[in-house]
Amino acid sequence: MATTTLQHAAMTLPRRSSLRRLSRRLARPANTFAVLVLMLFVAAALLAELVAPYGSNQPTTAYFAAPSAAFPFGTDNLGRDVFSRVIYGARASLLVGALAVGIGTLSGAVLGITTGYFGGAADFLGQRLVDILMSLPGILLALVIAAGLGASLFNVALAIGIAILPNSARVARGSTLSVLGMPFVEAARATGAGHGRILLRHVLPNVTAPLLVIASVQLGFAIISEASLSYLGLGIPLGTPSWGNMLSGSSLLFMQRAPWMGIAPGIALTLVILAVNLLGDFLRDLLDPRLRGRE
Amino acid sequence: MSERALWQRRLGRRGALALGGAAAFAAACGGGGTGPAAGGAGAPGTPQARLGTPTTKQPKPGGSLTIRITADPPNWSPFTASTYTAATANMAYNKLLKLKVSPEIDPADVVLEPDLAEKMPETPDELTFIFTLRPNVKFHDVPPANGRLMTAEDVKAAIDAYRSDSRSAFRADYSSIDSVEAVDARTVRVKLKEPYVPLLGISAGQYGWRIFPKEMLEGDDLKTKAVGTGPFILESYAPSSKATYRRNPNYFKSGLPYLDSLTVAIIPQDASALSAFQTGQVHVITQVDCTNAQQLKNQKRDARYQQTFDNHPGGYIAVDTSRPPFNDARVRQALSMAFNRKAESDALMCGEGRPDQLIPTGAFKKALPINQLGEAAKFWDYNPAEAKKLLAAAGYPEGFEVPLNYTPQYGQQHVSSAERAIADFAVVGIRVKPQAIQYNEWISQVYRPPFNFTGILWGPSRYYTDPDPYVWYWLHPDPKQGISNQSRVNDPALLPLLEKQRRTLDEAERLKVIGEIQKIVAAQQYYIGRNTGNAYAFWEGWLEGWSARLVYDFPQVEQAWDSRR
Repeated sequence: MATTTLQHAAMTLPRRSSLRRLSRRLARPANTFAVLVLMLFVAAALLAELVAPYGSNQPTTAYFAAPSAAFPFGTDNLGRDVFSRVIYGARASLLVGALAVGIGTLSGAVLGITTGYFGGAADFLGQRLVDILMSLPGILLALVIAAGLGASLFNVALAIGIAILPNSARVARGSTLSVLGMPFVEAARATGAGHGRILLRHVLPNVTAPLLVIASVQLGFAIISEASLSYLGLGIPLGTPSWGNMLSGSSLLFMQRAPWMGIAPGIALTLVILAVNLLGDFLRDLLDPRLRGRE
Repeated sequence: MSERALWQRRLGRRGALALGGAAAFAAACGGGGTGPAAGGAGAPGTPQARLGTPTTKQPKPGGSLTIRITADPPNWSPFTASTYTAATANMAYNKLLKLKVSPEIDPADVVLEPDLAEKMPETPDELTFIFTLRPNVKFHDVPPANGRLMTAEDVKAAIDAYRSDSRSAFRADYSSIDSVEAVDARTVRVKLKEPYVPLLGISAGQYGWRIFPKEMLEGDDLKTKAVGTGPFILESYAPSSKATYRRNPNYFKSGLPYLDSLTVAIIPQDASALSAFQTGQVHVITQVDCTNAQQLKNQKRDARYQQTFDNHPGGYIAVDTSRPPFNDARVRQALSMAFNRKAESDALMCGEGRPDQLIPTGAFKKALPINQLGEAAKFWDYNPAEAKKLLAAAGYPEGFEVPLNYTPQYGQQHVSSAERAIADFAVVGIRVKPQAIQYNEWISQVYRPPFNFTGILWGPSRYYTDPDPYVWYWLHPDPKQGISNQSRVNDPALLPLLEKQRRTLDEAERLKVIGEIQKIVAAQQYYIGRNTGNAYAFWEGWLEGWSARLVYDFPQVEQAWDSRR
């Protein structure tokens, strides 16, 4: 009985410790800010119809109206409420950003970790593929793919995701190679652990932190790339607001006449990228085995 | 620099200046009549201009000039009907006749003058034009011409190619030509099968007869080179960046051009172009929207400008009438009544836009005003309730979903006009799916035959030197003739009228025929007019000899000069 209790305590203690660590880290102002900002924008995106005072494409006769009580972020050249469009725009931008980063990071991680782990011909071929992708500017690559697939939200995310893939793959491979030389991997091999166990239990946790960091950086690239694609008509279809097309379209043309057209989505974009970066740091600190126990 | 309402003074004598194609033909035939220029058209307001005080200095050679365009030419062939080919290639060419450029001429007026021709053509009868060429005109001193003399044989080869070469997009314009004959080294005789009133106006326009060495017809030289007799020699072309030109030292007009070099900068983003103009990197920009024009007027006080009532950022709406839902006139009429022209004008044209129809009311002063289109004038009223009724009667009580095709390369204001209309159409249940098409595909597959699109085409502003292309290109059922018949109009009532307006020498009679065509199009709403806009052309204060023109090429470059020198 005593043995069983001790075993149970050994299993639960780390979990309690993790929760405590999580709550302690979350209580830090920067992390609280990041979580709140992301929650705010995600909630706004989900509840846009309830929160936004106007429709996403609803015109008024107040063209270029400066920010006021009626239009908190002003109106654009077509008389549309910028505040409402920022809220609706969160939907497309966060979705494209998250999807693109998800596709790019996950596929890059799988490619990088497996080629790095197994080495040999697979590594050679995988890395040459990454070389080819890296030799093309990311936005150009996304543009070609988007042009081929056509303009839709998923296609845009897929195109940007493929453009993101090489960076994630390189980071994942590099981290995998450094982990493979560690004594605990040697120890796992010595005890007869299979490839799957080594990859999932020993390599993946040590690769996750740098991947999260690069994913948080890539989110900004994804949202900005969507803006560039939108300008060329290959991004989010016309009439659907996104922060990208709000920043790249008429707001540039009327930057001097109505700066609020670009400032509002710009601030929203900055806040989200800042929050995601802070969250990336937070997750890295939380998940990196080398930083566990440090405060 | 004082702002002058120059136009206000001149509008009174517009009739004396406006020589449309028919008037030019009549004058050339010895008729001498100029006809009523406005033709009952909705007269534009008073265009704003700051043309500066004419300098007393004598033009001096030297200097360079940079002009902005928004997209790459699809190729350099004079046979290609593209705004951007005209804007880049035409620097290297001359025509037999050209449009006169002067600050004293309203940009919308068409005044012809001899260019490669020594004088206006002789017309012994209504079917014959005899052009006498200037002596000692040399082609550029680059391959394949290597500076040889231009002869009547080159002119004959060029005109023959325009009317019959399979690569020419302009065969429709010259199908009335029976023969072209090089009578001697300096004389060319053009004989027609039947009277063709628009001939001179069209041949002098942006897509007119650009004369090239006949050896360029072999191979692909025309697509990749621009070798003519023109004031500038093409030096380099970097796609998506710029085309550069140097002065033609052997130009046949003594002392011209004044400028040493010329650059056509390809800047897709309007915002970047405005910045480039403000900082002096670009010296000429056109089609500036009214909002930014106001800013520019205040910020760059030494800049000169002219308001041009072409239909930018307006345009038209074409629909695929060969299949549902737009094969039903009631649906097209509903689309027209669902489109809020006043809102478009307020949003994009500072409230100065004017309702438009097939022939742009502001760009070409031979369009009928909307209130003279009879019963059909009601389709220009914004009336969503009536539009819904028409849709219900046509079997679409819940509306329908339809693609809306546009190209972003026509600029942000063009895109904004399409974006604004989405909400208009949604009110009556027409749910549009915007589809962006890149310019090269647009100009080769969508805007021109085979009109590879379904649903709605968001048509751009356009300008021709004669009313004929507006009706012939957009309404002729044969794709070789109707090269812009995106709506695929095939109306038996129209064809005789289209042909008749080409043959009618009397200007007033011809305008009546064109008016009949406009009324049929209005009743059927084959094309849905939007607005004539109020764009501006800006240029540097030191640039003399410049004034706004509605044509897409820049005939002004020949006589432009830098007054700082």
